[in-house]
Amino acid sequence: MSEQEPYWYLASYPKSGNTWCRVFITELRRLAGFDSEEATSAALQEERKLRLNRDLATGSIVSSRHWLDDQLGIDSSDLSWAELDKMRGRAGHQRALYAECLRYHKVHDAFLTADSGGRPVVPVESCRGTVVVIRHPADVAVSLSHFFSWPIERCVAFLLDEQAGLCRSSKRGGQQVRQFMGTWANHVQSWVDQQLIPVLLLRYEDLLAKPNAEFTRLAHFLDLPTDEALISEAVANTRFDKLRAKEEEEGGFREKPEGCERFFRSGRSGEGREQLTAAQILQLEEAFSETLIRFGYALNTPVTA
Amino acid sequence: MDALAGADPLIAIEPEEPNCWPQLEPGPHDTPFLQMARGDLRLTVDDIGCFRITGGERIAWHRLHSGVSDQDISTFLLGSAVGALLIQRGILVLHGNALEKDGKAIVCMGHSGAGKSTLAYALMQQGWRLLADDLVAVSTDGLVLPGIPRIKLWHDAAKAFGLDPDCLPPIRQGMHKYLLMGEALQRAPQSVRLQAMYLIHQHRPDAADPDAGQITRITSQKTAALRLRNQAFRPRFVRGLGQEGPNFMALAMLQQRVPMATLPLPQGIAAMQSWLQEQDLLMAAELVTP
Repeated sequence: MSEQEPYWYLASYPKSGNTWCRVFITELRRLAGFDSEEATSAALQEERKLRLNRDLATGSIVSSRHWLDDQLGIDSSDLSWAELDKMRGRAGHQRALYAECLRYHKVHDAFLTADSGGRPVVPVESCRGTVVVIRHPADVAVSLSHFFSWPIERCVAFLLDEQAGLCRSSKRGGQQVRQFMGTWANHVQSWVDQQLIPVLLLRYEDLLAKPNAEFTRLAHFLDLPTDEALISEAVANTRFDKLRAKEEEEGGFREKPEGCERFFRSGRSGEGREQLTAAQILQLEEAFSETLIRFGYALNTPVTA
Repeated sequence: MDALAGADPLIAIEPEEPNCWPQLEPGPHDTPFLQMARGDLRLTVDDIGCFRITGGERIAWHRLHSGVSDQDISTFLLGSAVGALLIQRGILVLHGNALEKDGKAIVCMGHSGAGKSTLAYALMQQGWRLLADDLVAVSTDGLVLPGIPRIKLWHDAAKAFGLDPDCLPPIRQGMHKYLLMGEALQRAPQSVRLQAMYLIHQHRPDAADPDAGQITRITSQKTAALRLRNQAFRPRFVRGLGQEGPNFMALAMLQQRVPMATLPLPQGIAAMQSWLQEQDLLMAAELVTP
């Protein structure tokens, strides 16, 4: 095995704040003089593309085919999803081939899959830990509906689907491999309850409500500087309105494809309660009550207007 | 296998028990699936097979259990194993496909999932002939060598081209990715001079850059060199096999001789086909400047 570099995961169900954390990390590193201006803008560019492409290898997402092919030495699309899930956890974390920033791996997979043979689907050898970002599933539903251009109803069903995953089709190619997630609760629990790597649990709602304290915890966990002034500046520079302005400035998306809108859309919490029906909220709360209560989300089906 | 024949027709491809393979010292570029030393590469595909490629002249293979078919073995043998063998011979191998028209060749490169094979098939519908798909061997004097005459298309792409996936052989049993070979392909049988190199990227219609929808020549030598290096077939093999030096020289020569441009492919096969009809890919890389 070749030289190992420290690495962490940023694990989350999609649309739960993973990208926000990643942009914060990049900005904090830039302010601390770890990374260049180019690295920061390259990361932002990637995120922008990610939103548009929905299937982009960011260079640091663990489901990237480019990365897997390099590790496996074969074309991963010559394997079935089941074959691949068994191998993925054994892919190493050798120094990135070229200058890609591969330290903080974004992951949307659940920790285990039906095909991974009881082993994690992601490598854990020498992994320093995982940040797990969670967000209220009703808000995730709203965000997903904008991201995928799906009706809310379909997003609620997706959150409840025991077989849910990204890039599931075995009939077309793409730059990422299938990422099995299962239900929202399955996904969260798979990461929080695993015993193989240390966990830092962050709630999206807390990142919004007390960003300085929460992002300090994040920085501490990732061995990044926790200097108060640096954190404050990085938090200020990566506030949602700033990111949205940046997206606007870099993109100017005039001809938006199929109703797809901006990646940094609202960032608010509580939209789920406004936009889901009482029945949809109830559906989520009933299915996920245990997990919601465990992570401090109050169950309160709203009074219908 | 003409690409191999050009240098030395003698290649041995033989089944062999891996327990007779000498142990390799761990190398700095090894992964749990790959062990490499100068002139010796070992590849394990879990539950399928082990491969040993040596000296640019021999591929030994081993079936890991009786349920592994010949097709399973040949899938990885004709891809990674042959690629490793070419790299061992010091041949420059690019990750892309090569097509010929009017006696001139273009190479289209892109990472896994970028749509290389789909593009190759779309070009064949427009009169181009296939030289190589997936791995493209380029000689030191700038000739593209004909590769293995096959192309792999996903189910959805095959259907979009009006092919019936049910009538096509799958690349491996149970997979929805299919092999096109033989009469299904127009192939160019001889080495052809390389005229232009393209980097595929999916063009999104809302991209801000006004040049984004156009073929754009990469004029910066530095950018071209970096991009080209990233498009090598399995750069890890090149490093692990100690071929970085010759590879670097070959890339540098190629970059000096052949123009390189980005190819902003529209999404969707129909859009891609009509866009391609308006392009002159033999000339575009040279003419268009940013």
